[in-house]
Order: sequence, then C-alpha cells, then structure tokens
Amino acid sequence: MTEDDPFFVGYLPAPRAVQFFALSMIATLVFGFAALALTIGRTPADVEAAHYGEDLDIAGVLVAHPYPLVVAPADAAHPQGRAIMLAADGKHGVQEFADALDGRAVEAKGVLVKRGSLDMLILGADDVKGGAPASAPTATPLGRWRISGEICDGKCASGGMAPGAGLSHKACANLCVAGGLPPVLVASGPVEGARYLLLADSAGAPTPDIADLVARPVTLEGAVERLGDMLVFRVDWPKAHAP
Amino acid sequence: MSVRYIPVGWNVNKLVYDAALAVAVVAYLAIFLHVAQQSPPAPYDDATIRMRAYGSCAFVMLSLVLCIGPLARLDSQFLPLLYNRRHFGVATFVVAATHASFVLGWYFGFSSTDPYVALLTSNTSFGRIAGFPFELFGVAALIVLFLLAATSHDFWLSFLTPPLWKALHMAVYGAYACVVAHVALGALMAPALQPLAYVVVGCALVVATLHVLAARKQAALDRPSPEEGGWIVVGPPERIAEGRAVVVPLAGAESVAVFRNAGKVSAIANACAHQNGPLGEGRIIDGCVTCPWHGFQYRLEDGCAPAPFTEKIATYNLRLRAGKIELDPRPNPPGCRAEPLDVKGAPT
Repeated sequence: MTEDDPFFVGYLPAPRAVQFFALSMIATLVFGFAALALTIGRTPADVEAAHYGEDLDIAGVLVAHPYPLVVAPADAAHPQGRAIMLAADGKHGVQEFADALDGRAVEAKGVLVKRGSLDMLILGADDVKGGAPASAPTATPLGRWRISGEICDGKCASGGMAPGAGLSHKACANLCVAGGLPPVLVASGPVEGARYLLLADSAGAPTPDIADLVARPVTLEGAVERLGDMLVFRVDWPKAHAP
Repeated sequence: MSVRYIPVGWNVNKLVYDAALAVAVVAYLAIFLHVAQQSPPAPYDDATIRMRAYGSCAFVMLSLVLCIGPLARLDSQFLPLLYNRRHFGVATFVVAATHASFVLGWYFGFSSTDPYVALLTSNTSFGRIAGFPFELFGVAALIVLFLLAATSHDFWLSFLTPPLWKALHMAVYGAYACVVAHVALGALMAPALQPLAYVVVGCALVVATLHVLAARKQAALDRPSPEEGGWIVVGPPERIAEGRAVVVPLAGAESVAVFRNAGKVSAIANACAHQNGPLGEGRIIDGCVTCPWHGFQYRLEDGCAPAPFTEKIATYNLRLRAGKIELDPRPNPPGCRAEPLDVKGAPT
C-alpha cells in the first residue's frame, strides 16, 4: 500500500489520494442533497389556498340531512344565505346531535375552515345551542347535471388539510367519510359559479358507501339544488362513472 | 475487525462517514422544510410537508445505498463508501420510519379507528391502479428495511451464517421495488407532473443502469480459464504483479484469488468469510491478504485470519508446469495449509 497504489482500509489512516476522493464525494453528497431538497420541496400543492383557524359565531337553522349544516339568513356578503357544514374534532361528524336539532334555530360557534366557497365549522362540546323550531330553508332546484370532478371529504377539502385531495389522500378521505364527515365533489369546472358540491343520494339522504370512488376522477349524474349558498348534488349513484 | 461484539467499532473513517451522512440528511430536511413552507400559491400543510420531506429523503438515501455496491465494482475508488454502508442503511430506515410515523399520525390519526387498523383497512381498492392502497407497498418496504437494520450488526452475520444473512439482505431490492411502487401509485398520481417524478425515475434508472454495468463487468471476469488434465491454467508467473492477485473463476459461482507475495504464489478462495468481499482485489498488508471491503485479513499459506481472529477460508494447490502456474480447482478445507509455489526469478 503506497501513495502510488492507494488502498483504503477502514481501520487504518486513509492514503492522501483516498482522502481527496472522499472529500469530493462528501461535497457531492451534501450539495446534491441540498439541490434535490430545493427542487422537490418547492412544489406547491395543486389546490386552491385554504384558510384555517378563524373563530366564528353564527346563527341560523340547523339542517341535519343529507349532512349537518347551519344555514344562516342572507346578508350583504351572502345574498343567498350562508350554508356552513358542521363537524366535530378530528375525523368525526356530528350527525347524532344534529338529528336532535334538525329544523331548529341554533347558535353555533367554532373554528372556521374555508377553501373557496366551501365552509366548515369545527365544533367543540356544547358549541351549539338549540332554540325554537324554525322554518326549514328552501332549496332551489337547479336541474339535472352530469359533473366531473373528484370526491373528497368535506373537512380536508375545505382546508382541514392541504392539499386534502388527490389519490395520496384517498385513505384519509375514506376514514373521514366513514367517520360521518360530509363527502363533497370538487368539480373540474365551475357549476353555477361554485366548484364544491355537497353530495347526497337521489332522495337527499347521505350517500351510500362510495369509498371506492373517493379521490379518483369521477363523472356523476343527478339533480343539483341550492341550499343557502351551497350546492347540494343528489346523485344517481348507480350511474356514477369512474374511468 | 474485532474479536468480540461491540455495538459499533468506531474509528476516524467511520466518524467522518457518519458525520458527512448526517450533514447531508440534515441539510436536505432543513432546506426542504424551509422552501416547502414558502411555496406559493398554496403550500402543503406542515404535517404533509414533513411527510414529503422525510419520505423523499428516504427514497434518495435508499437509491444511493443501492448504487454503492455496483459503483465499487466498477471503480475501486468508491470502496470507502462501501466500508460503512450499513450505517447508511440504518440511517435510511430511521428516516423512512419517521416518514411513516408522520403519515400514521396525520392521515390515519384523529379517527375512532386505530391508526394501524385504519392503515390496513381504510382503502380496499385493490382492483385498480389509480386508487390502489399504495401505503401497503410502503409498509412492506419499511418491514424489510427494519429487518435489515436490525440484523446489520456482525453478531447477526455470524448468528445467521453468511449465506443466510446475505440472502436476507438481498431483500433490499424487493424493498426498493416496493418503494418505487409506493411513490408511483401515491405521490406521483397528482395531476401535474412534479419534480419528484423526475427524481424517482432518474434514481431508479441510475440504480438499474449501474447494476447492469457491474453485472456485465463481472460476467467478463467470470469467463472460465483453460483447463489441462483437471488443472486450470493460471498463466505465467509474470501475469501476477508483486503483492497483487489474479482472480480465476471456477465452474459455478466460486472463484480463486492467486496472489504473488515475496517471490511466492499462493491461492485462496476469492470470497471473504465476512461478507463475500472480493479478496483478489485486496492488497497484502503485514503479510496478510486484506479484504478491500472491511479490511478482514488472511494468511496466504493457510487461509487463516491472524490471531486472535478466527475466520478461515479455503486454500488451493498450485503447480508450475512448462513455465505456467496451474491451479487444482478442488479446494482444501478452510484453514488447511497449501505450500506456496516458489517463483523467485520469474519476471514481475
């Protein structure tokens, strides 16, 4: 073993030529890793920006079906009224107590998550106070539609997660829907000015098991109606098509 | 080399190796986390950024680990990378496990279903490529990486025996295939093509290409030598440089390293008893053949490691006939003395 014939033995001092080569490899490793981190890390999420964390108090009528909503009366910012989906912490819906308050005037407070026109209020314990029975908000029929897009859970889609969509998020979305959170369709183009539609079955009840369709490109057919400022899509599920 | 099992036999070279690896990994994670949090217009949430940072880092690390072997076969300058490759592998498992813990806590947490149960049951679209539960590929890869990291110590090499240990550790290729499938069916299914796609395809191509090139080089070296009456012709003594060896392939996978040292020629098995390192590419240090992978040493005349070490390899008988060295392909038992062939006076 000479400097003319450098030979590396781990437990012996490295020859000068080996040291030089090792230093060049270390530099390549560190700068290579840094360059890769810059390249991959810079990729933005492929969704609309979301807002999370604003406290909100809202008064309106609680609608328990297809999924729990509070529909607030029209105001300057929401000329058609404001519909906000309700959820509990984590991957849990609030169907049980919503059923008890269906059609009643309520005051709800919680943390607002919002992406585009999609709003969700995350409630804590005792965050909804029920009042007197109220007249149910009227849904406006908008006709039959065939709409393409991606089915997501309403919580992650409205900003609970970012991106909260896509196939890599499918298992999470399935868990959310199974936990009682409302499924929504993120349409590939605007429908009556909105990209998000709350999903139901054709009778206006919660959707059947749609786990296999979640997070994949789908085309759905059914009747669309407006409830407050939210579109509700009553889907003919047997006609749902996923290429 | 060590005669007893200690957690890590530290030396300066291992410390430098580990420090360089730590700096590279920390730099990757710090830069990734920093730039990802500022990516307009819609950054990923912090938990998803951590998942992506650790997951992509583990993928790049595993790709590099798999490149080390063929690189060292193609160019001996890369041998120092191989010396401490096990630490690289263990670090890769730690980074991959951190990625998995973030995924479990974020995508599979906050539910009334146990996260581990949810991981296995929340997506059952097995019949489709788009939507296939790609997480399971990640689970399979992580289990293999855990087994490899847990058995990476020389204690397990001795306990399991080198052939079984080697076979177990070849499972890293299955783990890599699982990781590629995990990323391809998960993160890369986003509608827009991402830089990650180029990195994954590029890394996989580099790993595959290096292995093909190394295999072609090895195949060329494995061409059988001419035989005369059951003896294999090695060639004239001057074919072997002083202090070096020529490698003679035998039928099957075995090969023999024929060394020339101080005017004498000896033949020993080419595979090191430690991890099958190519002894024929080693050097003679302090009168012993020294393995280029981890520095294990053997005496030329009997294939025994010098005391207090106990490793032994097979020796082979040689003869000089018509000016050519010939090798008897039948091995002597490991540690059995074979008289070196005196070739003093032959050109070097």
